[in-house]
Amino acid sequence: MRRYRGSYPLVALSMMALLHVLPDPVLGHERQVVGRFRLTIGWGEEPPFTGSKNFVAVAVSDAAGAPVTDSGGSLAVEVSFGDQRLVFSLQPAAERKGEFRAWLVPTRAGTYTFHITGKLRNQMIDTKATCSDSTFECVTDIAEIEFPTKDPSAGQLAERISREVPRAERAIEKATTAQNVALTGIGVAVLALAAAIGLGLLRVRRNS
Amino acid sequence: MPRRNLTVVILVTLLGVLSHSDAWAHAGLRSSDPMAGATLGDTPTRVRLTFLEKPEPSLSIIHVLDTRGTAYQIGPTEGVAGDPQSLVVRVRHLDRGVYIVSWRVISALDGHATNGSYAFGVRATPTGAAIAAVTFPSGTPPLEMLARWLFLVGLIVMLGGAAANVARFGGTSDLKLAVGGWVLAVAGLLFLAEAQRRNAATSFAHLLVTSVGKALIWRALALLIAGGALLMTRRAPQPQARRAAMAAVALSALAVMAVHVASGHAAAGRWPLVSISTQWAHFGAAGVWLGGLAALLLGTRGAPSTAKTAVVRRFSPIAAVGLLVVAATGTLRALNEVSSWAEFTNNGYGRVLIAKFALVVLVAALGARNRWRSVPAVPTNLGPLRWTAGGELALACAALAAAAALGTMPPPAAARLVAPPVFDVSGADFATTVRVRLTTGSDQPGPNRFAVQIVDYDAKTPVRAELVSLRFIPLDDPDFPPTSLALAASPDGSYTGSGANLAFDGRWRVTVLIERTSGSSQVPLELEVGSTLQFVSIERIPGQAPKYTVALTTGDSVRISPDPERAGPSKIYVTCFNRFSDAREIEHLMVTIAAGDGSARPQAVQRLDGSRFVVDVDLQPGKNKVMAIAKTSDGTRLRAAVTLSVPGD
Repeated sequence: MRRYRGSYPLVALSMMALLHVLPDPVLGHERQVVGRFRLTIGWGEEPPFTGSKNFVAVAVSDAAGAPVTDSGGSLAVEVSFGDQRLVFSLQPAAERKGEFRAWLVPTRAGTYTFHITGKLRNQMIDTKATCSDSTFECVTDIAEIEFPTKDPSAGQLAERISREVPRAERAIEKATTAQNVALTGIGVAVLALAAAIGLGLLRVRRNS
Repeated sequence: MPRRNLTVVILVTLLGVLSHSDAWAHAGLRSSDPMAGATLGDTPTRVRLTFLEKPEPSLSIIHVLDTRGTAYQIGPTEGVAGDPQSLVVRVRHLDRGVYIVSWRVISALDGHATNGSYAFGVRATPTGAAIAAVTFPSGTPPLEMLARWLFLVGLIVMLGGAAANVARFGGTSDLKLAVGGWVLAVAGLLFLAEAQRRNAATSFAHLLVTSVGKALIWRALALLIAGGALLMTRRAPQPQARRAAMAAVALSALAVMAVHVASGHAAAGRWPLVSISTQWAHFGAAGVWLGGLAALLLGTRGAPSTAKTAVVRRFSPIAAVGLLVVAATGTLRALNEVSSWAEFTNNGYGRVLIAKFALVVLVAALGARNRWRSVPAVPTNLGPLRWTAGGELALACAALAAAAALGTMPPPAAARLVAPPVFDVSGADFATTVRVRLTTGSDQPGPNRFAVQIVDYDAKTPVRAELVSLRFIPLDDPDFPPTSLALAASPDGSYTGSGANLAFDGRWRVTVLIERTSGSSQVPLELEVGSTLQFVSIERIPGQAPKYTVALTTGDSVRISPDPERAGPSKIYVTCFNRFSDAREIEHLMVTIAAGDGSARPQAVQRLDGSRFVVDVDLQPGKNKVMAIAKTSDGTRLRAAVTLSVPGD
């Protein structure tokens, strides 16, 4: 045992180097093998919250586990939510070797799907990952961590306004109709009153 | 008697007939494991059903079937040691799929059959109407109705004949009347035995060794004693000895009634002794009143005489007292069992009850006519009394038939009890796009079934969503991570799912996430999951703050001490102990207070030492529910709740 003691610093340095070279173990991400590459897909910031700046993170490594820093082509991610979708370009991250990022602000809580396409060192990439309990985290409403007051998001406010405007219009329409009916009623009442007074006067005159 | 008093009598009678003279409940299903609609991750090893009444295991059957009808239960249905209201059946390995639990139980109290079915899934979600637990009686057998009617009429006539002889308002036919009643009661008992044998679908030999059969044997024994007393009466040479023997007959009839009531649904009430006593008094008073009236009619045959006038006048106050007791005991039973007017009109039971009510009102009206018209005319003319009393008895027979019918029908109270306490909460999203209603299968922690109905906020039409999920956050336990549950669309338009996400008691925020193609909406809801009853000991020593010590199932205890226990600023001391009453090291403590019916509010907690904490609070007059949730270093969660009754000053 004693003869190995001198090699401890060397082992530690090797471990550090290995940790630096290997992509970080990422929890809450989906791992896929596409051809000769390993892709780890998820949100950059987890848990993801609505209204917070985040990014799609795709870590790429080769079969040996070494990070792929040069894609040798271009990668893109189509982010979809419901029937809405938008394509973002995946850019290599300077901070983390082998990771490609696409920045976005998720504005709605729920299920997001990342469809990654492009070319990696002459290999076509076409793979999808959807958030779930077993893959990566779905987007949560920011209100969950808001304190002391849970303010509505801009999207919720916009939706509320879009709902309130037609309600207000309908209310105005009803009020206008009611006003017209009231005016008509008043008119009819005035006419009836005038007729009654006229008839009364006529009767008085006849009697006299 | 002034007219005002007549009104009082009629009003009391009206209240009285709100009751009924027989069964109030059936062995309806209270809970089940697995619960209805549950989606299990793995096969259960057994199915356990808990009923409202004690079932008779040897006469009850539980089947566990797949959708093709293949049976999966192993061995017979058995009782559960220490839980007489539960039955259990073992099942073999269940593969992925939906299974139906079909059961038919016989109540150990009255022999009534009840059946039902529900569905659960193993790695599959049951859908449709089958998921709901269904409880219904196996029909209303005419034989049982006839049996109960004969039995009731027989007992009432027997008691009336005996009472007439003892109280000297009858005549020479008292014994014959009592014997006739005895014969009717015996016939009713025989029919009842056959009806219960048919209900249980078994042989007499098997039935008689069960609790249902034993109740029949006890009734028969009491009737045998009554029969013996009747024989003694016939052979007694002296009128005094005859009267003593008739008193024995009356006591025997009351004993049969007591056995009958104790073997019925009155014994299944919340306060069985009170219910049985009330029901027994109800029967007894009806026997003296109506049976006595029959004896009076037989004893006053022929021309009017002074003796007959005296007899009629002697019976009149006895009948009035009998009517009042019937009304009072009936009122008590009604208050015990009926909770709303809607229950009278919503089902067959309620309608029969209304029919009985109408009949008893007519009987009381005829009784009043007798009291104020016929009785004064008795010295010269017995005709009006005979006609009116005859009508009274005919209507009473019809009322007893209604009572017998009620005895075979499931009352609304039973149906009300069948529905276990659940959560039913509603809310809307901030954007006011949707309204959501969340219902659960239980209000207890653990496995649960969740159903969400979504409608448009304005149009109130169902909203179709791509995905619906629930997110559960325990508000009083920040260490516990949020969990989610995806719901599946059901054919009825709702979204359902099962899970144990409400893992423990306390306040939970449940956010309904509705994802549509155009966007998503979140509806936050809040639930307070209850807990099992905790034993709380209260120590009040003059000059010291009261100490509420809550014993927990873990063996630990939590002491909550308000100082002072009055409205306004106060301090609450919380101390945790282990099973040896030593101080329990606590890592984190959360205290919430809910005043009145208000929501629980977290309080600022200050640590005094490893196991003691103090909270500055502002107590409100009235009820203040204090809840303490402590986390120990080994991760054990101690939860204690006490309700302080804070005086106003």
